[in-house]
Amino acid sequence: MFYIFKHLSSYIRPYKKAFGLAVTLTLVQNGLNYLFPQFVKGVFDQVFPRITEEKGLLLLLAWCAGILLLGFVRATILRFGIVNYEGTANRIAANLRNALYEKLHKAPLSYYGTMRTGDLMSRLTLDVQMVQMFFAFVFSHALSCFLTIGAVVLLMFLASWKMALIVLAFLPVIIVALIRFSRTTAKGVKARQEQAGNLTAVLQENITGIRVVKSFATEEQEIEKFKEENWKLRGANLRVTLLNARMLPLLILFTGAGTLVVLGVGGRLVSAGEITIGSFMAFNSYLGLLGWPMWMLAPTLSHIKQAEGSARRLLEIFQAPEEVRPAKPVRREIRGEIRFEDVSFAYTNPEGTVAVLDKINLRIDPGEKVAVIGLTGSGKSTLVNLIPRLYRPTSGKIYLDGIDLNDWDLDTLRRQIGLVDQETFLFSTTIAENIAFGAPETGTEEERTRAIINAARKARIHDFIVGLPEHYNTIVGERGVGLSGGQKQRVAIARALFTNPKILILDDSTSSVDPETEKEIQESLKELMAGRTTIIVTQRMSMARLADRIILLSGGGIKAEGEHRFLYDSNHYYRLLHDIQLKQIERPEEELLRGLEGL
Amino acid sequence: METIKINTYRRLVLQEEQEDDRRPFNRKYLARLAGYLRPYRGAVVVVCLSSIAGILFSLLGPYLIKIGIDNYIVPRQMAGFQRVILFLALTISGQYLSLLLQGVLAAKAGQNAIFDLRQELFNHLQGLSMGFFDKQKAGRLITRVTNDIDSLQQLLSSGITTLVTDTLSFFGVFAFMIWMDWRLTLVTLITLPIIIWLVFYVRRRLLMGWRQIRKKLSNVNATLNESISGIRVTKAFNREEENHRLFAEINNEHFQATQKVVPLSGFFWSSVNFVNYLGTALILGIGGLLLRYGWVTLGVLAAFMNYINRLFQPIMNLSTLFNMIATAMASCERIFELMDIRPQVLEVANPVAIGEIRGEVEFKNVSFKYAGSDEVLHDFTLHVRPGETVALVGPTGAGKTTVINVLCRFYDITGGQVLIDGIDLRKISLQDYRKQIAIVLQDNFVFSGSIEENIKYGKPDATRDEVIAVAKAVGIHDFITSLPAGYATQVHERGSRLSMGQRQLIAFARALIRDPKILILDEATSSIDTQTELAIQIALKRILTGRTAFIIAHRLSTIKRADRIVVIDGGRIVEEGKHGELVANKDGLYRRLYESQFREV
Repeated sequence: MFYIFKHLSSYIRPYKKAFGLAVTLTLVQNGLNYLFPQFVKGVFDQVFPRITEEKGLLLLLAWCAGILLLGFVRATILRFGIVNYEGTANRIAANLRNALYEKLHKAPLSYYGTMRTGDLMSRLTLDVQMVQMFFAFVFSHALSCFLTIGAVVLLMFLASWKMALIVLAFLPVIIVALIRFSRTTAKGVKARQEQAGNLTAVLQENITGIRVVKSFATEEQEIEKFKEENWKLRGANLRVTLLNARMLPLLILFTGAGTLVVLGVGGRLVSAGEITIGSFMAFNSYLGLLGWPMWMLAPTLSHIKQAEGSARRLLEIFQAPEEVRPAKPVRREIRGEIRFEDVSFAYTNPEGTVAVLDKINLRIDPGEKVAVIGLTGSGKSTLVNLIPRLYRPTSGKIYLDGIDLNDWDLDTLRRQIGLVDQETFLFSTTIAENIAFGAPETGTEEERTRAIINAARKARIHDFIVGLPEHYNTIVGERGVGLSGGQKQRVAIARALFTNPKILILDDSTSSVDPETEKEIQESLKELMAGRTTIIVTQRMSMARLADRIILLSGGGIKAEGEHRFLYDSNHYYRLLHDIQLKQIERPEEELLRGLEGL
Repeated sequence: METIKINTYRRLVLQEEQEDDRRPFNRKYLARLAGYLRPYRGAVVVVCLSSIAGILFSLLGPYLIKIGIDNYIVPRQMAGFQRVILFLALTISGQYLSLLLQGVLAAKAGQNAIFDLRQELFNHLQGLSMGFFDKQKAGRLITRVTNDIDSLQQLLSSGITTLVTDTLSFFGVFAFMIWMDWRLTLVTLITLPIIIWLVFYVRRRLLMGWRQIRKKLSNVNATLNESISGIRVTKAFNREEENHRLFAEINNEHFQATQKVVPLSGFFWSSVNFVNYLGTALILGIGGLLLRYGWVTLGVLAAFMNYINRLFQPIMNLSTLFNMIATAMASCERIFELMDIRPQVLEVANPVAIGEIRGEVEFKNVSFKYAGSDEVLHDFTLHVRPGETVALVGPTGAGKTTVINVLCRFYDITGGQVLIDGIDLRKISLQDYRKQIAIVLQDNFVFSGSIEENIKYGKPDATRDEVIAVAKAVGIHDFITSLPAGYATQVHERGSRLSMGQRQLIAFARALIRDPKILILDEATSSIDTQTELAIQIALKRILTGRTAFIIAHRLSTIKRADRIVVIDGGRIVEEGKHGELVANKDGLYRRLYESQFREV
């Protein structure tokens, strides 16, 4: 439990006072709880025997008023306690979320390569909620459980040590049983979650792949596959439900046994005159007080265990690396001269280190248009990702306008580079906002509107947008209107243009458009590239031909570079690639494939 | 340009799925849901009976304690006291056993019903036609089969027990109290309206607050999810600051929603607590008064202190049940609405036996429109000989995919006829027909499992040799054996580990292993590198021979391989012929398309 306080201390510290107050209130409130049986005992012992006397009624009234007052005080304290706990927990959670969010945005892109999205999501959602619940009620429940058990034990001894000894002989057995129960339940719940995940995975595949299922007429096969998972899920569910179904009767058995002992032994003690009927009644209600902690103990303990795990996982995020920012950042307008000196890049995965780029030397002049071509895995995308510092080279240096890239202010750098990715990601908001994504606050609203439309026109997507029911205010992205791959890519191009970048990077940005659209985009690209350093990463020769200079990448190194005519005449790989794509060569594919060997 | 009004400040739009809404009580749905318990009605009856037994036992307990106190302990007459203890012990054991029986049987019946319901829903989905899936978002359907069904779980397994036990137990306790002392019973009734108000009104407002919180939380989560998935764009566009601001706003909205519930939550729990004290004070106070006149005994008072809590618990439980039902109604509605959707493409009652088809395909004046849109195929006539390879070419939206949808009978045509070996497609059994065709899609979907399982997908009983033979035929065998686990290599849905080209080759193998008579190929537009393209062309040569093939073709190399090129525009065939012939037509659409794609820059 202390793990949580220790590791998240800086997020809890501001609420130390509020939380301390809440704890104090819990203590007081618990204390008051034990007064209640005392009052009941008092009424039975002090009032009822004298009820027929003159003062009996007055006495009764006084005691009952006392009970009401006690109830009122306790309720008030309880109320303050709850408000304090929940309020504090909500604040802690809200702050944690904000802090985690900021932290994640500071982490370099390479960090995301090592974490699965689902994992990060579950940390930011479930784990934060778990911590929130810990502060909202789990902690106070745990406190109350132990306080109550301790206090009840004490009170029982005070009432009758003989009876106490007998009743409490059961307690350790019960607690051990409850803890074991909670462990088995925790295991069961985990197994159930896993199985639910398996079922969802099968289901999701079935539905996303329904065209394959239908066309192969494999519905029966799919039904069998699903049935298997469904049956397993039934089993996992049943195990957990059965545990609960057994737990309730068991608790009743425990309390029943307690009552039995109290009645049997207590009855004898009363009749032997060793204890009063009042003590006997009080004892009975003490037993009743144990009911709640017994109920709560198992779930509370397992909750604490889970909250500890959550705190640990959150801490891991807080300890993630951050993007390196230079001490004396350079902030100035980019001219667009890029130089790579012996740049290598490698990444490490569980299977080992993978070299992607090997000692690249390259110089791009301001305003120059360069195409990077090569087969899959040749390192094309990595090469361009290094320029906005999305990744950092493992060794070697990159200079921008003669200044070490690492010395540039990150914001200044990225603001002046426009990137159009291979896989276009649009956010769930309006098309207008997606286009203005890189600079949402520029100029007046009117200027912004003009700039957005201008960018859309240039990206050849304006006509399509105005055809939509809510034109620029149409919501796209995951939760909006579905756009085709080509449409998304054109929005992405408009997004890159909106910021009027000095360097434009097109990373295989026409991969999912059909040839006609590609042709159209190519036409507009000619205009877009004017005055900017442009790097086009592509598989298509028709795209590459838009550039002044073409770089043929192979196995992480530069195989050849130069302008089209030169490469076509001097490099047989380049010529072959070009001709296969753009000319009709009447040679068998096997032969052509052999010709590409070594690339 | 000036007429366009852009709301740039709309910021991230969060369309909350109104999935956790409550619905008014609907008897029809509830009855239909209860129908799933029918097969387990024996268990349900036993559950009800043992619930009743459990209640009787639980009522008996305090009564025995009262007898113990009044008849034995207070008069200090311990002779025969053992009998009371023995009875109490029996009562407790009885209560334990009946609760256990009830719990176990209810859990089993409930989980079985859930299993049946989920399976039925999935089976139903498998029977629906493509037209249905094309319109649905996958996530929605998944939620139906998972979350919506899960939310019925509690209702089906513990709902009946709660209903029976708590209703009976409330009235049982009540009757017992009246029987013991009607005057004291009246006293306890004073607190009843307060409890009912708290439990049914205040608690409902609390639940409403929580629902609000959940909605806000789902906004927070959706934003988070998007931020993580789009982190690359955010970084590249330097949007961190702006994102923080937006997130802080959304996070704050959620925080405010949570804070709004806090006072209510404090009020509710403290009030419930106070009512307990109030009840006790009333019983002791008025009970004391009655005691003074000898109208009640000490034992009765002690028993009443015990019963008052038992009166409140069932009310709490019933209110939980009502909330559960209200939430379940929403799920029920969504599930049953889905179940009531009928497939549009139906199996014919007495299909014509086709045996092995030759692969002759004829479109005869086919017209087609998707539901709710304009006609997309008009008077489409095309005759394809067995073994012929036809390339479908045309601009986006010309109707190429529709031709394939109709050919696979994913949709039924609105006019004309599609004939397979001269037989109307609608007269053939879907299963028989689809077993003899194979389709390779643009997005090459692989299922999670081993590569071997993926290749065998279309023919589960294929031998290892067959798998290897087709893998060799499409030229992916060498690649597969180069992987550490070979054919047993695990791949998943989005096929990480596999490149786009490799996935396409596996999809070829998956189609080829069925030895289909008709092969349909929707060629990917995505750029794959030239090497992969050559490998695919080599594979194509092999798989096209000996069968009828339709290819939506984008690449020149594929188009030229076809026996015939069919150029489609606006849902009609505008040109037909071989590459050379079509290119020769200077005014033709094909020539135009060809030039725009392949002419030198």
